[in-house]
Amino acid sequence: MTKKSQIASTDLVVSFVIVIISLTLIFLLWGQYYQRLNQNLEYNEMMIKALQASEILLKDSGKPEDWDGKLQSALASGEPLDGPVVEDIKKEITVIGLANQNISFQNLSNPLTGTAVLDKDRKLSKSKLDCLVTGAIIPGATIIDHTKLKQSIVSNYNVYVTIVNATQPYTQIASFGQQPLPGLGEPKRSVNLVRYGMYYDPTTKETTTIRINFVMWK
Amino acid sequence: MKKAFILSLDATIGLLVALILIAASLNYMNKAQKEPLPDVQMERMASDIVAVLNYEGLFSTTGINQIDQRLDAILPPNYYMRLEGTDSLGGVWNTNNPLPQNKMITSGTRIVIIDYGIVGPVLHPGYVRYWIWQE
Repeated sequence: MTKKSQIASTDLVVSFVIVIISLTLIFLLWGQYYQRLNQNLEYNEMMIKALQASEILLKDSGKPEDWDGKLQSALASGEPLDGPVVEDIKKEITVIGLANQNISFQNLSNPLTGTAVLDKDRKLSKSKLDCLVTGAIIPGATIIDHTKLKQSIVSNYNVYVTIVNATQPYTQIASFGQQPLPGLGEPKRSVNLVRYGMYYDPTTKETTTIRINFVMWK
Repeated sequence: MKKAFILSLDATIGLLVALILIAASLNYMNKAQKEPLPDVQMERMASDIVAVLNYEGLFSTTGINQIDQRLDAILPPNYYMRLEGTDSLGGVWNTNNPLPQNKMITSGTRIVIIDYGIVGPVLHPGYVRYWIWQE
């Protein structure tokens, strides 16, 4: 009897220890995977938004399509940048896209219908780009600021875009958005995309192939 | 003896089943962690490059070597691409980069309109298949 009960209690202790170790391992692993899963979900969300935002910038002219023309006309007629007229035009803009709505280069005729193919896919407008670049139209100022850009395309994330020549030497053509700088706005998390497009300058009448580095961060 | 044997056999089988289940779930977890989105970003980049090469007129007027040279010039370091073009005239061409055996390759297809005209536009629809991978 005595021996039997000793064996039974040893058995109980050993199995109890095994169960405790197993449970601890399960909880530790659960916590680890839960954290990883959350990080992955956040990364996926940022990547999807970055892909969508870069697609809109490259392929869409925005809403309204001639948002850049409206702003530049108002400024050319002497309206101040922070005046009510320009502010009203800014309120009308719901989507900022950089694709050129007036294709003036490579207008291909459609062999099937005979009508012009207004293919604005990945062909950027210099006029639209200038509205985002500091000093391009107004010295020291930007027509479309980062807040408006965020509202238009990425909501609760910051965005920083640099445009360089597609081939070496990679000369910077333009940059806009909020740069992630150490101390000022160091990113907790970021995703980087590289896209390509074309850029037509009506002044020089030159088409340049460009590389767009798109950084979204929070 | 028989009882003890059956008990230990039972424990061994139970342990084996548990280990198999744990291994299977860990395997699925690892597979689920592989992110497909960076591959989508690479595919988008490749599609951009094909569009740009088409707009630059490289698919109609130049040879394969020029397309390869342009790809080398445009692609970010450590990225490689292979293109295969087909047009409505039945023409098929390939760039020189062979597909690697042991790399993750992302691929796609883009419909293009190729202008073969020298004086005026002579347009033919076609498509370009592309493969992109990293060193």
